[in-house]
Amino acid sequence: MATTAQAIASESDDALMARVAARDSDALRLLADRNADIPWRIAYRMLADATEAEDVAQETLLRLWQFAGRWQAGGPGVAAWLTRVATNACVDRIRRRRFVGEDAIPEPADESPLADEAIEADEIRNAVATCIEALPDRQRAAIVLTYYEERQNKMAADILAMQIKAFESLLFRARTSLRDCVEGKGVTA
Amino acid sequence: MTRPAFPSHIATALNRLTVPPLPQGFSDRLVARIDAGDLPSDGPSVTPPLPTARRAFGGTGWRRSGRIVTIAAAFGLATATAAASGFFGKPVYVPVVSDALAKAQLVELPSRKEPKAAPRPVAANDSKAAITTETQPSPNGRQAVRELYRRLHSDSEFQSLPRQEKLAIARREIQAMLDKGEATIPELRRAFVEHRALQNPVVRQRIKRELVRRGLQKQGSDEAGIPVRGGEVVAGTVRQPGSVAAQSEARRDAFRRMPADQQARIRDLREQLRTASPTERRAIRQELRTIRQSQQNAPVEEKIETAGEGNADVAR
Repeated sequence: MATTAQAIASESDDALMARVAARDSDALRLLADRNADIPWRIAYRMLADATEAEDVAQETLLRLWQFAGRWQAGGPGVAAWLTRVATNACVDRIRRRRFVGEDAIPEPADESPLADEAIEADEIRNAVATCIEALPDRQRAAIVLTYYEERQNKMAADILAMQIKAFESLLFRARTSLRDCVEGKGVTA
Repeated sequence: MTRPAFPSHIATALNRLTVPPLPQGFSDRLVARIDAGDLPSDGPSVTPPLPTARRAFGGTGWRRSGRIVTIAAAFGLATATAAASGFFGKPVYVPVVSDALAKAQLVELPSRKEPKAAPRPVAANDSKAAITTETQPSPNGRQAVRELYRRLHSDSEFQSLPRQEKLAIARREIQAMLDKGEATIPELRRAFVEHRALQNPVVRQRIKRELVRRGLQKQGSDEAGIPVRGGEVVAGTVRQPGSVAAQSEARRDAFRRMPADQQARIRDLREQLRTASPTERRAIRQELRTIRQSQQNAPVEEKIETAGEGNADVAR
């Protein structure tokens, strides 16, 4: 049994996708164990909401389940696919918030720092989260993808379906706004 | 070395935004949703729809008009090029296009048609223009048309008719002449212009003067400068250089035929005229007139020659 589990764990993403396409939920569970943190991180930083972030992460993996039949082996990989889908799902949710209104969004879960963390660090993190949340949806995605996910500009532009020049312009505006916001809040880390 | 995206203090602050680990039981809940068939639907995107596409042909009125003009110009140019290159048969000379095609050695330059000279407009009151610009009608035709005009003009019964009836009769007569071949249309036109010109009193006066002038020229050349009086010519109104010269020559000739004493006397009297008072001049002129009248050879009233003898102030 352990040998079987080891063999599954060593399978490539393409092989696992083939099994997912055959409706093997264990293979999807294994893919989730490997890659679920990618949509989780992106969603958490873009939406600043753990509940919504988990919802986005699950939705992204469910779409992978639905999309498995059209999966082409040898492509950029599952991680890149999840990054793209999660980012667009977050942008979609941000825009939905704009149309539905903030009142319809449930209160963020209490993500207060642990007792042993310094109050100052907590304030800094809240300030940064507030500044990122204040950015427009695409600028927010650009910051998360290039700074936190460390994606190249070209790849991030491709995820957002933008020309590279347009993305670089967007990223410049996002960085300027974020820096001004953080400095405006008196953050001195 | 790439420039850092953020200053260090900003980067440090951004790095404080850590992400907690995935919630416990994430994969179990994921599989449970799959088993329950709770899959995301491919519903419509919440993103607002794009604005309606621009109209397929053109946008604003100016843009559409510009496109129409451009298409029309391109069609015209293409048609001209096709005509110049002989696409429709024989090549036609199109001013710029044919030259360009011939220069590119794509087609031989067709012979260009010389435009017909536009007929010179004939003024109704200009008899000279009417005479010179007409084609060459036969004299008989012109004469017939003139005769018709004259006949109608002298017919008192015709003249008493209303204008419309007169015009109708004239048209019938003219048509009959044309049908019989007595006159052609150019002759008719020329006769009409002449008739119109003759109705103008100014033109008639000019014609009469011209006739008198020609008669004077002819008479002067025949009689060697004898002034003409009478008729409709008013003395002094028509000066003819040829007749003046002939008069001078006649006077000199009469002077030469005088006896020597009379010639001396005339010279003396002329000298006296230079310094004489008006009363004395009158007497001197009377004596000169007597001397001239005594000459039987003098054909006309002789006047003192003024030209070239320095006494122009006493002439006449």
